[in-house]
Amino acid sequence: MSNTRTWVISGLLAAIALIGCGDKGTTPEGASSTPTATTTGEAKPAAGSTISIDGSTTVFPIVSVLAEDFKKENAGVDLVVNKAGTGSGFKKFAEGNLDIATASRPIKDDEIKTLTEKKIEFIEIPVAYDGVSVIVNPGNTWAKNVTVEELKKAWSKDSTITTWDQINPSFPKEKVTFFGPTDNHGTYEYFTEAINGKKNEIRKEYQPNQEYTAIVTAVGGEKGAIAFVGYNYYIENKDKVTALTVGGVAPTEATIADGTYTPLSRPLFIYVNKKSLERPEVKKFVEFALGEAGNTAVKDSSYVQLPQDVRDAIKAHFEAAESGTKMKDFKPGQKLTDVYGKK
Amino acid sequence: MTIDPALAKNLASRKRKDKIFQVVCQLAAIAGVILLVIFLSKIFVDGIGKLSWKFITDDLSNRAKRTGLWPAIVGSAYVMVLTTCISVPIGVGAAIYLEEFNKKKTGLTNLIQLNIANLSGVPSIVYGLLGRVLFIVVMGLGQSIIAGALTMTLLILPTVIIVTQEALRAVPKSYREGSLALGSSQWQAIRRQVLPNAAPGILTGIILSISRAIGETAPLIVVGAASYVSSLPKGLKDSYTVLPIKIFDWANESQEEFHKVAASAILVLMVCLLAMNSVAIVLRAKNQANAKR
Repeated sequence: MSNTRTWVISGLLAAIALIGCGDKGTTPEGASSTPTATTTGEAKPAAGSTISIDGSTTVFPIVSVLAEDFKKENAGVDLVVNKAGTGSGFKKFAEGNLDIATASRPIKDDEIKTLTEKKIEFIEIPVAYDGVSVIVNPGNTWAKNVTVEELKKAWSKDSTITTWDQINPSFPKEKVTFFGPTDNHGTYEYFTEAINGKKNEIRKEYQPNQEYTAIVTAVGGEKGAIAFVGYNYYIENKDKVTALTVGGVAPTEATIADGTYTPLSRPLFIYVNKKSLERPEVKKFVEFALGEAGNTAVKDSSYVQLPQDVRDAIKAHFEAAESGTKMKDFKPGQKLTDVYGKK
Repeated sequence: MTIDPALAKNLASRKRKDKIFQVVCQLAAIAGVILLVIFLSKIFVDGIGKLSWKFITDDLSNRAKRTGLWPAIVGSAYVMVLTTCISVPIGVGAAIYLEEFNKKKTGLTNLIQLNIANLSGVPSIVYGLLGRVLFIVVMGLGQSIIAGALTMTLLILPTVIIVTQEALRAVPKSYREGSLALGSSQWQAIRRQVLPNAAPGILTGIILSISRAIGETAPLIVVGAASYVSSLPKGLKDSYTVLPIKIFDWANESQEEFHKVAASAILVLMVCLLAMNSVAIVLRAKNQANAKR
């Protein structure tokens, strides 16, 4: 019997040891193939050398690419990027757990209020443009363009529209189904404000989804479907869905960047905790984001780069270390140089 | 020999029904397998192209062509080892108490027993929320690897207790009585007779619970497993990511190429799971062979 017991115990130990050794045994191997990891392991500064970032799902690709490129040049710094959503990100930012909150909409008054109560100061930095794209099924041969008015008619709170001809009489009497993101998304908030005039108000018959890929799949599978998604989800899925022109303007890099794709082109932000900026690595990271690396990251994640004049204005804004938001009176479609250029 | 025509008709009809029932059952059995084969082959076709040693050992990246999986694999391994180390002593200990020492079956222990049975059926997201409040907010552990492991412990603990109890129950009473009759203490009887005989069952149960935990995503999203970490976790309070989280993230990326990366990661996860399950099977077989001697 003791034989059996030995078996059991050795088995358990072996299992644990195997897994444990698998870790320790292979880490150096992995490290040797990626030299950065070795340096981190040895030269890790004291706690606090981790830059923690959380917030918008939309901004996540940009910031995680940035983090990855930054890590290559600054091996001693650890970065953690998450995507709990813009609102949840600000909540954690207020708890003091984040160095940087990412956002696909400007910060809200009540969020600023919480931050003020907690004595957390922040600097607002736009990092890219996104053009909320109105997408339909490729089998939709009738609709090529919609006006903002037509969109409003279809999406507003009291809308009773069920067929396409109710949006525009020249469209056929085809059933229309509405898809889009859930209300924790900055995209949802931005679209409802820009189209319906009021944040977070939307028609009753609406199928929200947490994940954009699911929205794209739904629209790709239903002839009468219409939805709004971030520009990158449209551009990466051009074979599955078509984008409508809004007021005659198609969402393209050019129209989003120069603001002619209005009112649906919008800036994306990072909000930096001013206290964290006292740590050199955080300051360095933000400067990194404001430089050419930021542009590369935006391009690599299929978003639209900010024009040079806007970037210069934002850089000056950051160097002036001005806290608070400048987006309070921002109107959808407004130029960012007007917002950040002013003293 | 003549058969009553009515009876013959009845017999034929019953035989027909018998046949139909058999076919329906066969179809049901095949349907499951076919779905699994379709699913696996789709994943395999999508994922095999990206799969390479480099993919497994490289750092995470948000550029589909460049990304590796190593931090997620290491994160999963850490969470798994920690979860095992915490849940096995507690789970097996609880089961031994409930089965072996708890002779009186008081109201309290009955309540505990009932609770454990119910807890094993609670959806995993609920454990995630519980873990978030308990470990992150109350205990202040942050979105760390230890908070993740403790949450996973909560998740698998009821199952570990129940399988251990069942394994203990399967050991014949005569073993304990024989040992006690020879003058052993209860602990000696449990240690020398009961546990070794129950071990295959316990071990299998533990490994299957752990392999459930390794595939769990929902609770870890809630307790803050990260989507991107630039380096491997070095301590219990470090940030981490795990395989299922990365699979979930990549499957939701806008770029099509990431969906292939997700498929490759699924292959890696499945190989891990299959390996663990086969270890369970082998250990079980060996122990049974030993126990028979």
